[in-house]
Amino acid sequence: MQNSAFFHFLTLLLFKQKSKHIGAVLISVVIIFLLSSVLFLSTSLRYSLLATMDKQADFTVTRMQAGKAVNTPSAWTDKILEINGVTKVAPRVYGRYFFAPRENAFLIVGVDFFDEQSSQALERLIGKVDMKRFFSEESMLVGEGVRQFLRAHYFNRDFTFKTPVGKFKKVTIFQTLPESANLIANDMIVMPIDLAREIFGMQEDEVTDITFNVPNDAEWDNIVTKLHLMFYDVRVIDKREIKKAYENLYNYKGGLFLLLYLITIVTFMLILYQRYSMVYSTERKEIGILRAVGWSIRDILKLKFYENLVIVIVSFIIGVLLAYLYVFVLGAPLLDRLFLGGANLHNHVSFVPVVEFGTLGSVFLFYAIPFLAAVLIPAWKIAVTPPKEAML
Amino acid sequence: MSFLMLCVALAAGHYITYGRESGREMLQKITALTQIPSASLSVAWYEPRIRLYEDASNPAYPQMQPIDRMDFVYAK
Repeated sequence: MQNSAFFHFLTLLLFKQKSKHIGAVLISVVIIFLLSSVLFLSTSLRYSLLATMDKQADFTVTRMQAGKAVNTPSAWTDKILEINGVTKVAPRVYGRYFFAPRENAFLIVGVDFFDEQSSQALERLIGKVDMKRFFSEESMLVGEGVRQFLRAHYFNRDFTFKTPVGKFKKVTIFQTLPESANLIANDMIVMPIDLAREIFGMQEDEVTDITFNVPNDAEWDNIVTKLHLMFYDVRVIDKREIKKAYENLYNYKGGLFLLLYLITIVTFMLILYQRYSMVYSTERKEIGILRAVGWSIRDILKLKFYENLVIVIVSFIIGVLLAYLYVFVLGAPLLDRLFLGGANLHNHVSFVPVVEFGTLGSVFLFYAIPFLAAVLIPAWKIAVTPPKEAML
Repeated sequence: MSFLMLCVALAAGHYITYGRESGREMLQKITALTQIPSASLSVAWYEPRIRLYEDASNPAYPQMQPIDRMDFVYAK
């Protein structure tokens, strides 16, 4: 059989029977679109979060009491600094402030702005800051989500915090944190460390936890042992654990989505298989006619293979393109809530386009192989029966 | 078919020209300032906002894990 004639016939067949294929294409596009959207979202979030790990301290030390993290004595900072190989020891004060009337919570982070590193980091984040004005009254920097929430509740210029001792603390909104930092800072309030302590009702010699770096990786395990010998009520978390947690957080392999995909794809393949295996289907007649006019089994399988390969490729490209547009251009409305949650402040994040071509290739294979198998196996079964019987 | 090719080209153009570094740098800057790399998950107040440092527990039902917690849906 001449190849050009074969492909001409294939093209004619595809265009003539458009309506026959449209259902399969539509279902395929929906399945590919949903799976690709989830993959794009999870990959993008993982990429963005792992990027922040470079700036994260290597270790975090927290005091434990009755299995729960409690405030850590700030005196531990000096003790940790005495360990050889430890650098950049920094106390952290942070916690959630519950806004009872609306059952929302903000993450308050206390920063020591007099520390050179912190003031440089602030300058890099929001440009030149008028520190005089910042310290002239009690001020704070708020994330985009907090800003919108406060504005909606008529706190346009400042917000009044209630401290655990029953005092009220009015803090001026100095500036909003950049929107591109929403993935981390949406519900964040950054304020001077002493002010944060006052709002949480912490003592002056208390911090939430202490972070530090150990530049030599080979020393990491040794440092952990030293810490456990130094303090008996301590929990040490290293960066590797956090990294692992973030890698797994959005890992589609462990998610429900892959399971849902498998269920959907199996159902769809069964429908396709059923369509081709039906006794009175047009497919049977078509194959019977082709066999009657002299086509070999091999030619029929070749025709069906190419016919469905075109459908698979077109559906895959449309599905992936729609998913790309939905996630990276439109910002994945609705689906972002599944990944970022929706119980607190709404977080609007611009997802960084990251496409793992290996994963997309796997999706294509996991989709194309069952699809082609679901069509070719019944087609082969019909093709091997005598044409007369097939057309009955 | 040509429309499909055009769409692929547009998506490829968007992917290549997207300012990936600026977003990445901004996240690194906020982490450098606060030392908190945790994603701002919009979780209920009794769910952990900062992973590994906080434990999830609903004070009303301490033994019952909330069904919508993130690590229930995704692998831990």
